[in-house]
Amino acid sequence: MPLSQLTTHTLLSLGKHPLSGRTRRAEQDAKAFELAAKLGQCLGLHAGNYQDADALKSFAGMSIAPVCILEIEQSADPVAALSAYFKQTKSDIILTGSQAERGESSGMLPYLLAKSLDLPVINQVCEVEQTEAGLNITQALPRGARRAISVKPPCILIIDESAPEARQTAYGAAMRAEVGKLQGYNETDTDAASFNFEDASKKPKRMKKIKAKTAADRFKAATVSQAKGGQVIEPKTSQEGAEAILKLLKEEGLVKTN
Amino acid sequence: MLNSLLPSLLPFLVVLTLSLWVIGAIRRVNMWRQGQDNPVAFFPAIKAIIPRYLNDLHHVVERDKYISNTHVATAGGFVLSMVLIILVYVFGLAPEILGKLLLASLAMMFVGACFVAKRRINPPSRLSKGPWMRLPKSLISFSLSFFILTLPASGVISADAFGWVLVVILSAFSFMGLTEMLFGMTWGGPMKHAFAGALHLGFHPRQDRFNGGRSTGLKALDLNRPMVDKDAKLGVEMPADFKWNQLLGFDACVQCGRCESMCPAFAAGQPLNPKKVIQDIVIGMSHAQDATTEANYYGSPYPENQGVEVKDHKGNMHQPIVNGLIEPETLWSCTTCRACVEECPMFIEHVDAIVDMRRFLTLEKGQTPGQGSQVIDNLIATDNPNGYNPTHRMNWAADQNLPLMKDVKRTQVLLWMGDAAFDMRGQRTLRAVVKLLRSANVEFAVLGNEEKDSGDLARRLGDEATFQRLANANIATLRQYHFDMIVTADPHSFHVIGNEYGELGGQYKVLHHTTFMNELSESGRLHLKDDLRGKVTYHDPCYLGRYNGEFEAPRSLLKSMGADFVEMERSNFRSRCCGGGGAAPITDIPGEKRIPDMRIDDANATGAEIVAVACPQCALMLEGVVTPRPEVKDIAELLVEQLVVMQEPAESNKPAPAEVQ
Ligand code: SF4
Ligand code: SF4
Repeated sequence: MPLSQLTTHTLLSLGKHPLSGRTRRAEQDAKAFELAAKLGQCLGLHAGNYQDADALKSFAGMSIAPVCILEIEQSADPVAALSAYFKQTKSDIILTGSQAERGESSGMLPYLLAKSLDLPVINQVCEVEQTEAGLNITQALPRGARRAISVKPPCILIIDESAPEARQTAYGAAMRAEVGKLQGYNETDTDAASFNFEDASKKPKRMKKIKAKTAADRFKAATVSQAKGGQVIEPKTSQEGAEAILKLLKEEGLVKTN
Repeated sequence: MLNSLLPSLLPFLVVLTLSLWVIGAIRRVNMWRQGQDNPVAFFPAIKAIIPRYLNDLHHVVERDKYISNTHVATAGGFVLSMVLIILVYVFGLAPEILGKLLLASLAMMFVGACFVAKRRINPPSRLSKGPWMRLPKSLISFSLSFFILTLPASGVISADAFGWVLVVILSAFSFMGLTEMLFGMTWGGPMKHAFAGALHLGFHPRQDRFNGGRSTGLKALDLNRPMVDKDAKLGVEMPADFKWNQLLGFDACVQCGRCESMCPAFAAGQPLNPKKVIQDIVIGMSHAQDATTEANYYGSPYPENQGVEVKDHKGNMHQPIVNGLIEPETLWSCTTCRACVEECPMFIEHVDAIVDMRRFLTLEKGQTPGQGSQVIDNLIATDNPNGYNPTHRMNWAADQNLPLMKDVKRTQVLLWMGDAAFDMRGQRTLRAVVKLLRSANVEFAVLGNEEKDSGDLARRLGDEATFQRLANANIATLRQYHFDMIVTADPHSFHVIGNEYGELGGQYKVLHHTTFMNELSESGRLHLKDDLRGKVTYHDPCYLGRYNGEFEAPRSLLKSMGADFVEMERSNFRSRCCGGGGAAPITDIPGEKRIPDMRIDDANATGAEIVAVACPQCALMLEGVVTPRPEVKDIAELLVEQLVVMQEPAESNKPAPAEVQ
C-alpha cells in the first residue's frame, strides 16, 4: 500500500479549561491533530452536536485538515456513531487523546472503538513516523523511558502527554473555516442515561511538612524523585501478574479482602 | 550657431528635468496608492504641510542643532532658488532683480551644502552611505554652477564674460545638480525624502500628532472582515496591505538613523534596526519603481541576523514581507517603546508598522514565537497572561479589606490593579498605593475578580481578537458602575484604557498613580517628609512618558520627598526602555546584551543608590539585573516610606469629616 494514500482521522473533542472552565480545544486532541499533520490525508472528526461548530473552529484554525461534525443526538453513544462511521469510511489511522476534558472522561472511547472495529490500539504515543512497511511509533513509558513499536495500519493511536506541543490556532483561519456536517448513527447510550453527574468537590490535601532548611534542600526536594520501594516483577504467566497486582491492591486497601 | 543655442541650453535642461520630475511624481503617487485606502481630506492636508514643517518637523530636527541649521540653509535655499530659476530662466522674468535674489538664495544653499559635506567627512555610523555620500557634491555643484551662470544673467558681470566652453561645462554641472535634485526627487534618490516627506507631513496617518498633539494608541482592526470577505486578511502580509499613507511615510525616510541610535533592541544587539525595517519595506514596494533602490542599502544592518545579508532582502509590492524582506525575529524584538517614532524627523510610525505585521503573523499564521502562544491561550482561558485562576485575582488583598465596586456601585476613584495583582513584586506596590489612598482619605474601590487583563499584552503580540474581547469585557463591567476616574499603578493599563478603549466605546478619565499622588501632595492631602536619603534617579516608563507625556509628576514627587535627584543620561522623552514592553520578554529574541542590563548601567553611571520606577513591568525587569545595582523602588513605595501619618488610617475609606485637618 503506497503510504501517500494513508487516510487518517483525528477524533476531536471540546475541552474545558481546568481553572476557568471555559470551552477550548481539548489539549490532547490538539496534540493528536498535530501528529496527524504528517500522516497522509487527514480529517478532524467530532461526534456531537452541530451547535458546537464555532467552538471546534479552534481546531480548524490550526490549518492542518478540515474539521467535520458527525451529528448525533445528546443521548446517543458516540462510540456507536463513530464505529458505524468507520465501518463505512475506511481509515488507516485513528488518532485520539487519552481522556476527554468533559463528559464521562473515562478514557474508554478508543478502547471501545477498537473493540468494535477489531483494531489494534497503541497508547501513550509520543511520536509517529511513516515507513515503507507501516508506522514506527515511539511509546512513552514512565520516567522518560521510550519504546519503539512498529505497526501496520489500520490501528488506533492514543496520544501521550509528552507528544509534541500542538501548534497555535490562527484566529483568521479559524474564523474563515467552515465546519463540515455528517449525519451520525444514533444509538441511545443506556449506561450514560443512568449516570448522575455532579460537580466534583475538592478533596482535602495532606499538608507536606517542609523539612528543608535551605533553598538548595527545597530545590532537591522538588526535583529529585521521592518514590521509594516497589519491585520489578517479571511474571511468567498472566495469572501470576494479576495475582501480584491484586496483592498490592489489597495491601493498599483499594480492594476489600473477603 | 553655437552662440545662439547657448542661451536656450539652460532653460531646456530645467524644463527637461522638471518634466521628468512631474512624470516621476505621478508614478510615485500611483505606487503609494497601491496601498489600502485611508482617506485624508486633500486641501487641508496640503495646507498643513508648511506649518507642520515649520513647527513640528523643525522641533524634532532641532535636537541636532548642527543639522537643523544646515537643513534650513540648504532646503530653504534650494526651494527659493528653484522657484527663481524657473522664473528667470524659463519665463525670463525680470532677470536683473530676480537674478540678484537668485544669487543670494544660491549662496545660502551653497553654505548649507558645505556643512552637509562637512558632516559627510567622517559620518556617524547611523547615517547611510552609498548615494547619500554623493548628495553634498550634487548640492554644491547645483548651487555653485547656477551661481556662476547667473552672474552674467543678472547683469552683475558683463553678459559675454564667459566663453562658450565654460558655459557648456557649467551647464553640465547644473544638469548634474538638476538631475539629483529634480529627477532624483521623484524617481528615487536621496532627494526623494523631500517630495515624500512633504506629502507625508500633510497626509500623515495620525493627523492628531501635530500641533502639540499626541496620538499613540494603536488603531483597532475590523475583525469581521474575514467573515464578510473571504480574501480579506487581518494585519499586513505584503507592502500593498499597508495603508497608502503608511507607504508614503516609509518612502519619506531620509536614512538619518536617528531611530537606530535610540533603539534599545539595536543597542542590545538584537536583530532589529528600525531604519532597516523601513528601508526593507521600501525595497519591497519600490521594486518595480526605482532600479536604484533594490537591496541598495548602505546603512547599518540588523545585528545578529544569522547569516542573512543585506542584499538577501528581496520582495515586491505583492509578496509576503516576512522571510523575504524582514525576518520574523526582527519584528518580535521590538519593545514598542516608541523611541524611534519620537526621534524620527519624518514622523514615520515604526511601531504601527511593526504591530501591523505582527498582527498578520499571529492572527493569520498562528506564528507567535517564544511563550507568545501560551500567553495568548492563557489570556483567552483565564484573562491573565500567566494562567492563574481568575477567581484568585483579589487574593493579594485578603488582608486589605478593599471595597469592591460590585458592593459600593459608586465611588470617586476606581483603583485599577492590573496583572500586578498576581505578582508578588507588583503586590508590594499595590499595597503601597492602597496605603497612600487611605492616608489621603480618598474614596476608592476596586473591581476585584471582575477585573480582567487590560489587553495590552495581547494587542502588542498582534492578537487583536483577544485584545478586543478583553477590552469589551472590561468596558461592559465598567459600564455598570459610577466613578469619577480610574487610577492605576500600571502605565500599560493606563495607556490602553485611556487611549485605546475609546475606539471601542469606553471613554474614561484615567490617571497614573504618580499623577494622582502628585495632585494629592500638592493639594496638601498627602503629607511627606522631605528627608529621603541617598541619591535617587528615575526611570521613565515608555508607556507613561513617551506614550502619554507624563514626565513631570514622578519627578516632582521625588523632589517633594527631598530626594537628591539625578537624571540618567537618557531620560524624559529620550528615556531608554527597560526591555519589558511590547511583549518582548515573552517572545524573548536573543541578542548580545540584555536591555535591562543596559538600563541599569545607565543608572549605575549616575551613582544613584535608588532607581525609582513607576511601572510593575519596569520593576520586574530592572530588579532582575544582577547586583551591584541601585535598589529598585516604585515611587509609591518611596512615598509610603516618607509618609507622615496625620491620623490613624480610617477603617473605611470614606472621606473623613471636614473638621479633621
Ligand atoms: S525612519 Fe526616520 S529616524 Fe529612522 S532613518 Fe528614517 S527618517 Fe531617520
Ligand atoms: S519601538 Fe523601540 S524597540 Fe521598537 S524599533 Fe522603535 S526604538 Fe526599537
